[in-house]
Amino acid sequence: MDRDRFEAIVAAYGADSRRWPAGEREAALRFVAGDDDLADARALDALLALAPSPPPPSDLLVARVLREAARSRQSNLAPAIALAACMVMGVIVGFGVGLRAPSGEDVDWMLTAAFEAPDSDWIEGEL
Amino acid sequence: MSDPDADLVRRVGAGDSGAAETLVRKHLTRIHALAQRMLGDRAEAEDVAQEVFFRAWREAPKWVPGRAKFETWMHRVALNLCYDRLRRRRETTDPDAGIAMPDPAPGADEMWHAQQRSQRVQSALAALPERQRAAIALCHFEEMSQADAAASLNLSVDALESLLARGRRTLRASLADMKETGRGHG
Repeated sequence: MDRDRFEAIVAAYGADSRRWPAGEREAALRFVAGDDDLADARALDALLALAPSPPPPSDLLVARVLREAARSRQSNLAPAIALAACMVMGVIVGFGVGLRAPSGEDVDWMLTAAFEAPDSDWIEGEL
Repeated sequence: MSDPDADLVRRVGAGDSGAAETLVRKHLTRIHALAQRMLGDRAEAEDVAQEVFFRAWREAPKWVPGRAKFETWMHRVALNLCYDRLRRRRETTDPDAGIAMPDPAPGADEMWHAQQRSQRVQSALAALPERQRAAIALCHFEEMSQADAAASLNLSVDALESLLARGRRTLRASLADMKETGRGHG
């Protein structure tokens, strides 16, 4: 820390050492020999203290922001809900198709009808 | 990088309504104050603060800790929204609008006098270039740390100090007559 750096800190952050960089505060304070060192900066700080304070956020704003947070949570959950719904529907449809599927005996009959030679009685009857 | 809000943001991202409310209680006032100091208009400041939090809700589920502090990210979003609004104002209105100095003639009433002085300071701040005003809002009024203010402005700390020094120099010049008046009254 030298005198130039001290002056640069005061020029940037003003006279109140609370606003000075924490890592340089202690060293900078050693350069404060008298009130004249900070007089101009202190005068400007005093003027800035006259600036009106911003009003606090309204209750309506707080409510709007929190309502949007809830809406955002729902929209974030929507894809997961849709996926879960698809999985449930898949299980239901699969189970339903399973109930309507042919039994083992039915399959045997169908295979017989498709690939085996017709009975001789049936052939004679036809002739 | 250590972020005091990291756990809070993770919980917000996971859908914790209590965490969302805590984040609002913790940061809404400062974000709103910053927007108010940048824009000088309460309704616009509320719009900006609302948009910052809307974006925060969308960002939280995908936020990667360690890249930046969530608070500085929110301040940066707020400043960018303010810059956009100020740019639109410049395009549609008289560039001198809103920074006209009120009549500095002294009044008999002390309250009127105090209001005039307050208005003068506000006007001098409003007349600063945007980034100087933002730097002073963050460091002087919000008392944010140098590192966080620089990150919010997307600047190095050296560049932040340069902005602050130029801003304060301009303010000192534009309020020089008040200083004399203040001493005379003080």
